[in-house]
Amino acid sequence: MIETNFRLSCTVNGEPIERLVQPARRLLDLLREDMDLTGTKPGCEAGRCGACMVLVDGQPMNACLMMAYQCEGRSVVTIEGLSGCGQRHASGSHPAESYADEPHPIQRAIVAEGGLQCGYCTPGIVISLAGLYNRTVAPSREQIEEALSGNLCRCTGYEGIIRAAMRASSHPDPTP
Amino acid sequence: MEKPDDDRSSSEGAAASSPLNNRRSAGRWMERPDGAAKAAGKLVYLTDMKKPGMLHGKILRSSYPHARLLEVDVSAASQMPGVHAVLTADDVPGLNGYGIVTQDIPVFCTDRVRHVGDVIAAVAADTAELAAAALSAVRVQYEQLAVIDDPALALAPDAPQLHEGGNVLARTRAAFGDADSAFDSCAVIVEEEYVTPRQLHLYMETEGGLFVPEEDGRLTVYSPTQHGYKDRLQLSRILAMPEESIRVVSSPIGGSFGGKDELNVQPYGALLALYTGRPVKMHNSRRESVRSSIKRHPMRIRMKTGADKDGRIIAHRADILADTGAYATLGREVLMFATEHASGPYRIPNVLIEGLSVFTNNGVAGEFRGFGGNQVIFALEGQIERLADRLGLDAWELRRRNLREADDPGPLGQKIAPTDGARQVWEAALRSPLMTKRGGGAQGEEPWLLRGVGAAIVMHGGGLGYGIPDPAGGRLRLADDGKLEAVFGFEEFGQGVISVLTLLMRDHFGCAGEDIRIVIGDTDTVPHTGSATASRATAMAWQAMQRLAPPFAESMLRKAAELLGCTLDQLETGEGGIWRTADPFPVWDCQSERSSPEACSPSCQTLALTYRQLAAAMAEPLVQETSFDFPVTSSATPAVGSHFLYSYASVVTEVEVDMLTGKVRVLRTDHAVAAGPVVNPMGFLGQIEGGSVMALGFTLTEDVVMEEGRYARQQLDTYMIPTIRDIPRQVCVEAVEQLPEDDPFGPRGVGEIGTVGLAPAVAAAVRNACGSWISRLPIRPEQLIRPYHAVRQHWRGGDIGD
Amino acid sequence: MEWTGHSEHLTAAVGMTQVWRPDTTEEAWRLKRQYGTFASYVAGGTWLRTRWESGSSVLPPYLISLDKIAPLQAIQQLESEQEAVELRIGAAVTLAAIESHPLAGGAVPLLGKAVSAVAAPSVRRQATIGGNVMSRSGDLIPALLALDAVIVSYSQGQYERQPLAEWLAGDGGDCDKLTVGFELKQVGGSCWFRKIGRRETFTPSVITIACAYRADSTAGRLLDVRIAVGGAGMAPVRLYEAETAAESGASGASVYAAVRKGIPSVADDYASAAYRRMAAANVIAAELDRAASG
Repeated sequence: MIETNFRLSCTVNGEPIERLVQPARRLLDLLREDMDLTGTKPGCEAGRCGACMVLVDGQPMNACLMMAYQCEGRSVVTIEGLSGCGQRHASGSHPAESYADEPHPIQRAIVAEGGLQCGYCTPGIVISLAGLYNRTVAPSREQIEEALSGNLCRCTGYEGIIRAAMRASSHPDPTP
Repeated sequence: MEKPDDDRSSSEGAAASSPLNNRRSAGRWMERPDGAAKAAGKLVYLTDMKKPGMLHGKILRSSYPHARLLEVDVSAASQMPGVHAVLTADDVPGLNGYGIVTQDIPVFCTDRVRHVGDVIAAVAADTAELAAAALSAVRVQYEQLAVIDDPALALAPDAPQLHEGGNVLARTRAAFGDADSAFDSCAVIVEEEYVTPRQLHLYMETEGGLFVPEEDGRLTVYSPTQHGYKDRLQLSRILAMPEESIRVVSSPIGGSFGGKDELNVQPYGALLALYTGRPVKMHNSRRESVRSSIKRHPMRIRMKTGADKDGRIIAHRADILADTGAYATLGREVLMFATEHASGPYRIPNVLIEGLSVFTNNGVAGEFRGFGGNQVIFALEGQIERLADRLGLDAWELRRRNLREADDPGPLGQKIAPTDGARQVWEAALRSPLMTKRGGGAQGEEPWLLRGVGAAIVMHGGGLGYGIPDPAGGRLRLADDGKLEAVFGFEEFGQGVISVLTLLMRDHFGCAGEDIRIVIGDTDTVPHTGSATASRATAMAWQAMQRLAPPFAESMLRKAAELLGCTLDQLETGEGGIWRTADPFPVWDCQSERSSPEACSPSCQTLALTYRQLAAAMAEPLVQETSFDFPVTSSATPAVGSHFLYSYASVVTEVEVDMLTGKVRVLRTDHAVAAGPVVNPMGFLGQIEGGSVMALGFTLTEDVVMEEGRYARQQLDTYMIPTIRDIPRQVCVEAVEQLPEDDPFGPRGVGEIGTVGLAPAVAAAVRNACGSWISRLPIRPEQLIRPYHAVRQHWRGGDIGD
Repeated sequence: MEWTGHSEHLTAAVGMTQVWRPDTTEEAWRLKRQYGTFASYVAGGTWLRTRWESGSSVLPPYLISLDKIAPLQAIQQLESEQEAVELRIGAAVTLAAIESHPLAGGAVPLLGKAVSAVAAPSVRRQATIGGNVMSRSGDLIPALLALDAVIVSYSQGQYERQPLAEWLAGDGGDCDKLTVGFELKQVGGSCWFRKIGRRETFTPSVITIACAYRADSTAGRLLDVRIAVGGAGMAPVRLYEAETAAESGASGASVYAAVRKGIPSVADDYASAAYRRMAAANVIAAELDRAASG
């Protein structure tokens, strides 16, 4: 019942993971340092900036706030595992998770609309929006703002991000 | 500069007149070449890097804002298992100091600490946790000294002196006519003191990097900076190593805004790597970043401005007091910039500007997007509003009456490149639908929500200024694999220099994106092209390409003509290679390596030779280089630091003030920017949109509050930058691109100008909404809130009072 | 002149920490009793993480996670003799779960509004109601106070129910109790919630106001008015005098005065005590005037 170095069992980007970790180790460190998934960024390490956002069971959460034991049995998807191709409504999996190379529509829209500059916050922004599109097919600006209220961007002034999100919103993934 | 397919760009506002629409159809709205990798999380930032056998470095900083450093005992820390090096001042082989201009920042302090970011020791250990534990075992003996936490205290006669030269870093003076006696003939005079905050750059990627001692004795530094060569120079002094032995890889960068131009963790990473012989990773936590990084200078600006009864400004006086913190860095240059810009785009016959930049124990202030312009333009535009109010004139009309003409000298009397930018942006502002509402306030959806419109105008110099070395240049190369390489010493921190170079290559060579390779950010491969600062990179890239492209294209075509046995005028560069322009025309046969008339195509558009084929046929690599200086004034005896190329901007904004809470919301902003032709529309738009939201933080929420030399706000839970819910619902950007026909200088920079005009525009709008004059930023709700009974009386028709 | 160590750097020593994940309240309580100050209860851990990161507390050698204790994760309807539905929310229920639960955020709008004002959606998926209240300055507290919530705690085989207001008035020094949940009634009528922060969202509270009331439209009066305020660094309080003033049909001006009297005097580097008082009084007076005028 006590967890010292415990065997964490979860999935990361669809891959089942079994590994011995310190239970209080942050998911952020697990991803970046132990698994070389550096698309998840540290920005404040206190849950305030959203640069480390990942999908946990399909919902955006801050990897800097989660400890390893809290990931037990859950599905973690990082920016590296995000894709939008064809599996939006596939049964038995969370819609935005298909672990392939094809970009998610929100990734395409963000690049097309100038929704990124330095790009450091971008994986977190993409994850937050992907989480939103999992739940909502054509979100409103209000819903987009709510979904991104935990993501800070210092470069774009959010304008390009909103353009991208609205564009992705009005052109939902056509796959059934 | 709304994009054409955006429904917000309809018929309203500045968008309708935007020339960007044409540009987009001409293919200039280009996705960033680095965009897909960034959006996919695949782009490796320098703070993402790691190497086998790597150690983790950490830095011990002062416990006190001001103290004598009596003894540093690292013995216990050094003996901890897993700790590989604990370094102090004794371990610096070269110069124990750095700084872009003056090397007065100790790498490690020896006898005194002057702010809480001052460094005492650095540790390398097997893990970051062990390094942190070792820091906690370093014992330091301090003797606390009186803390100078206010510039006024620093100037007191009995104040402790922070540096040998005293507490004054710099004094500036700019004088024309006789301001003091000219006030006698003014019909109205307004006098006010303006106070601006200490702003944090808050780049999302904190400082860090990887420092690798190479087998051949060289050192590779993978660490973000705005000028790799300058870091290399500074590190060579500290490490006592030849510059050539150091390679600085400095891009990509997760944001900078001026904040990573000065060295930060590089000296420590480099020293630890050299001492341990192992790669060392450094990466500041946000808290460490706030504690150690440079900030925007807080300024206290007194202005006195007088006009005649027709609203012609006759006399203007400004006294600027800047809190530059513990060390020089670019404090003097920021003050010079502020001094130059304190009279703005106005013709004023009698001007006296005096500046003072003062050392304190309040961290360190330095370079930050806008470079001192933000503070003085807030003050100056506040003066214009107050003058207009006193004269009973419309404030925009008052600006018109005083606006500079194209051929007028610059603000320091220097000859500047003539453009009509000031007038252009003044006129563009009138196209904003908000401007029709600027006279009076209006009510929002609740009776206690009051709305007002305000506007401001900005003139902003680019480049480092006269008398400061400001070299530029670039290199084009036809690589072995047939890529057209643009090789520049600029850094990519998000602003889009890679896009700019790609677009310029396409413009000059008609080539495709995949024909191009942009090489930046590595001192082993790039030429000296100066820094990516001071709104200069786009302008310098454009000018460099003007010099490089024609001879480079000619060299390619000459060789191609030789190979194909045709004349130069039959050929042009294009997508994929060299294209023929006239029939009949031979095509290069790879097999036989000769031109074959039988392969001649009947169509009039034929790729005659690919770049790869051309490269393979070259006996020597084709390389074209240029170096030149940022253009400066041709005046006989100009002031040092005075600028030659200026951009202009106007901002119109509508705000809503909640009188029950004093909170201000910005509802809409319309920007017009005159900075010459737009090279990269997406980048241009992003710079103005992003810059203005950074300015929104400066105006409403951001202030690195310090108490007795310590940071009262150390994290993003208390330091508030704008979120997506804080931004205006609508932002329009118009680019005014027309330059005089004979202008040879092309695009001016827009990296900074978007951060300048919003604060004074919001201040004016608040005044128009609720009657309160704003003279201090960020705007305090405390100043605007009114008790319920007063608010109620107002919505029943009374006056809300000030 | 003194030797100074730099213990603030010790906070990163994560490798030392062990995590207990007991299945029952009793076990959790025993563990805490065993380890004392060497252990900390943890649910979402978001508030704790902020404290560890800032160095205002150190990651302890033992964490006692509440995530396996089923009753602490539950939202239940209680048997009630009264008309109003009574609700128990486990201390380890996340804010996101409360937001979307038909019995909680759905049926108790004041609670739903309060929850939505906390942090950002991603944080609310991890942060819990217990953590928000244990911080003693969370945004939920004013709402729970206005709802006359009861805090349920466990100690030595006994469950104890205590009005939240009473618990807040205590010094919080009673480490022997484990907070297991909160009970509150779904009251009818109207409510509003207002958080005045330093920016529009994801901000420390400067002042947070929760208000519930019923409007008697025939008499043009307000009944059963409950007003509570809180904010960062402020002990949350009910404003009983202002409630009485509002119920007695007093004008906005008298409510305004009563509110000002009731607000604790708290100032920080962002806002003065005077500002907090005026902002709270303004908003409450304006909202109640609006409510009274129908």
